[in-house]
Amino acid sequence: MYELTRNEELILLSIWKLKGNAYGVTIRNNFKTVTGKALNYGSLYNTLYRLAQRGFVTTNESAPLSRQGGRRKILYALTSLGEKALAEAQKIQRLAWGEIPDLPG
Amino acid sequence: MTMQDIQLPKIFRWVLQRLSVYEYEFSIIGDFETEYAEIRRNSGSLVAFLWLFWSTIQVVYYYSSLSTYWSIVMLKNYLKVALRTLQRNKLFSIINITGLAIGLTCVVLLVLWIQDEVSYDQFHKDIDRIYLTAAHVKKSHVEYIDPSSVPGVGPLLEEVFPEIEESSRFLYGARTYVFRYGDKTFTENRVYHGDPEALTLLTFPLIMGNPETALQDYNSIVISERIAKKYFGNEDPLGKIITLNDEYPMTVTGVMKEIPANSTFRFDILTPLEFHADLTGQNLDSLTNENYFVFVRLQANVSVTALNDKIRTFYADRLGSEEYVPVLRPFARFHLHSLDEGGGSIIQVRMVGFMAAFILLIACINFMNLTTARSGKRTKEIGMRKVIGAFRKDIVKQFYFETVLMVVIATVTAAILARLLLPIFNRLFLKQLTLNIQQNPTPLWILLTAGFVTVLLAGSYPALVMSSFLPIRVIKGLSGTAFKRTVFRKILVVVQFTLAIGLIAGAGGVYNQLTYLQNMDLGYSMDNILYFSNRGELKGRYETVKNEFLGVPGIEKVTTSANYFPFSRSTDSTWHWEGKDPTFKPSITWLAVDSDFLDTFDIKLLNGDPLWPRDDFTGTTDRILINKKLAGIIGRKDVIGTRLSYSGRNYKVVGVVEDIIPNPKWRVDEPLVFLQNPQRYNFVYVKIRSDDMMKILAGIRQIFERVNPSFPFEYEFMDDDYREQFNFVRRTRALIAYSALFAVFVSCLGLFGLAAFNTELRTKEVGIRKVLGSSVSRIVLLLSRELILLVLLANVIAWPVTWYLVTKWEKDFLHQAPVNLWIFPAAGALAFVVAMLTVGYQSAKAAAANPIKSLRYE
Repeated sequence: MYELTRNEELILLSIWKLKGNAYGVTIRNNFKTVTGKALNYGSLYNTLYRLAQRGFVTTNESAPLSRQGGRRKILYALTSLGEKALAEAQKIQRLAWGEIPDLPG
Repeated sequence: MTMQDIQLPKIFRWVLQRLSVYEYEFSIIGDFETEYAEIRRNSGSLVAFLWLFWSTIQVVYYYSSLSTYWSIVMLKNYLKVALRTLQRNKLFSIINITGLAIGLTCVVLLVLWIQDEVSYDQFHKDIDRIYLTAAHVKKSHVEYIDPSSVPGVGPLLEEVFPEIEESSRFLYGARTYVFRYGDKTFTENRVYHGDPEALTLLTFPLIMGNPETALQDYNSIVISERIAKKYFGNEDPLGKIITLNDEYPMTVTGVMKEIPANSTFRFDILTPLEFHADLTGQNLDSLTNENYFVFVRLQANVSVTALNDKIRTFYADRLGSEEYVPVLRPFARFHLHSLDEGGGSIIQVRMVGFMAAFILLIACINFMNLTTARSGKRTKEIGMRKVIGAFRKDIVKQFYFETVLMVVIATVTAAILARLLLPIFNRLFLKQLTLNIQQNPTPLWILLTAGFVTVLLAGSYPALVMSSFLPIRVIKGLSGTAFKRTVFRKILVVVQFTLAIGLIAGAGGVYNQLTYLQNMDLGYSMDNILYFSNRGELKGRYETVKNEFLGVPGIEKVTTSANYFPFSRSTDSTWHWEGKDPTFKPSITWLAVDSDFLDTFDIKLLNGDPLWPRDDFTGTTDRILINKKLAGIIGRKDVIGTRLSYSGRNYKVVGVVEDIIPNPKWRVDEPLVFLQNPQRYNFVYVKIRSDDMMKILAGIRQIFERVNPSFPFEYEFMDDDYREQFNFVRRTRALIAYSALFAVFVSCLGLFGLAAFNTELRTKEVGIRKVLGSSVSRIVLLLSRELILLVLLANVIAWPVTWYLVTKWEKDFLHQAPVNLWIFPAAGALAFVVAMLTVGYQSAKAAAANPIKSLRYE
């Protein structure tokens, strides 16, 4: 069982969707498009920190970019464990929502 | 505008950099810069700034939750390592922590003592406007300021000088009366007499009754809570009548709170001054009877210096008096400052303050030395931590944490010790100190500050220097800075021992001076002499009763005098003799005594005849004795036979006695005349043998009560009275001596620790030396030489400095003990011997060990 909180699930999904371009700014933007809510950096980092500790994501340092004023960028990618956790979350989602029709509102 | 140009404002960069985990793991500044640039481009710099501001606050908040978690994990690790280190080196840990704890305990107790001394009389409302009217007495041969003054001066000054708001008088000293309520009778010896304003000028708070009116009535009486309980139990004391000396009914008009221990005046019962004046026939407007405390309260913002000048001018111009001038002295300074403003007990209090500071310094140095010495053994651990991935910052944190842990243990121990020792301390130094953080947080602050400073000083070396070691070097075992470190440590050892030796020698010097003062030859002896008032029936039948007293076995001498010898005296400057220059008016003290006075007090008759011819008991004659000083003033070769006249009477000098110091407080010898005047004998002195005192006292009591049934038998021992004057000095002396001992003890603890450490470092060397044939004694010498040399050096520094300070301190005294030079070698030798013992013990243990053990030790 790889239990995920809502935020963890959404962040893992963002990383998956962004493929090789998942870093702080893009993850946050993606989160905002999906939920309509801005995620503050603090809770983003803390969630990422937890996910990294549990072995769901890995970090890679990008080469210094001219775009960021010569700063490195930290890119995130899912590990196989992370993918498994997402798959499990998907399964639960299907089972839970399977027989329920589209709700009004 | 290109992207590179947009940077976060400096302050935000700085804040974000502090969030090291975010920056390291997630590159927070990069993310912020990208977003900041975008918002700025889209919505303008103000919105961008607001976003940045708000996001930073949020991020800091979130970071704190992450890092708290993180630091607790590390803290656990630090705690574990710290406790293990403490456990592995039990001896060091104990020495280190006890040393600091004992030091801090001493400091807390000394500070409490100082606080108490400094707080004397400060509880009175408007204390900074309350002044004591002292008497500045300036005579041809002596000048002094006396706290007691004449009763008339209060109303006089109040009337003349508008600067004075109110004045009030107390009778000098306590009186003793017998009080009766119903069938209960008690003798109370702390009875004061004061003006009606006494309770509003000085603030002795009343629980019941009105301070404005309590003493207005002639027969009113104000009692303390304790007395009220004693006489009336749970009844309402107000309006009750108690009888004074079985004669005067007094109405209770007020009940005071117990007067706190830090009050100069402490009494249980207060009755009107007027009552006492009528009882004894004193005139309260008198300008000659110096037997009162006169207080004044000035208007706000009055310069007392200017007022004192005005008073002096007034006395000189209007009253023509320069010999006696009242001078206002702040009551707030009465307890610690002498009235001539030349010092007083404040010197001793300051000295105790220095003691406390020195002890704190010694304890801190100790702690620092041992901590730094011991941390030297942990270079390998630091190397390992760094290799595994610790930042320098983590090592710094770890060492500070360990130091904090030890200091906290020591501080808590000190607080507990101080609490436990306080009752003993109170008993030793006659104080009623309490340790109550809510009422008096100063000791807590001192502990916290001392702890903080110790952490900073002792923790910084390992934390800051050792954390910078390169892992590759320290793991290979090359700690390159070992030598620099030992030099620093040596300096600290020298400083510490200089202080310790200085403290012992200084305490020795102070002790010497104070003992000298106490044992000074006054020219008479008061040992085993008790005295009581010559009153009632006794007064008329003195000669008969005296013989009855002499019949009691154990009573050696009985004598009598007009004034209470030696503290009270009659002085006048109108004595005259043949050939005296009429403008020369020395004041001469005289005392009426009976025939056994000189023998009782062991006053030496230098030449001539005794005051009373052996066979003459008839009474007043014209014979007088004078002292050497007066003989010198008269200035004749053969002074015996000189005729003196005073107050219309003629006297003939029959003998000369040794100079005596009549009032130990001023400690000056005055010209003195002993004469006879049987009508004025007010005090009876009985010299007794010191064995079987109870039986002798019972004998005296029996006779006294038979002769004088209406008076209780109340007596005092003269040497008690005399000692009372020195009580403060004696207790301070003891306090200083104890403090010095503790300082040395703490120093030696530190030396012991250092010696043990040094020896341990050289275990292998000792083993090799032994295998190669060195003798035990040579090894002991080798190991102890260094520390012993340091202690010797400390001696060389401490002696001259202490000598200088002690002589300077003694200058404040009228009579100076010769500085005992032997205290310096003695203090040095004491420190040296203790140092030798501690170091020698360690080295001998190492030297005597089997070399196999030490060589195998890795």
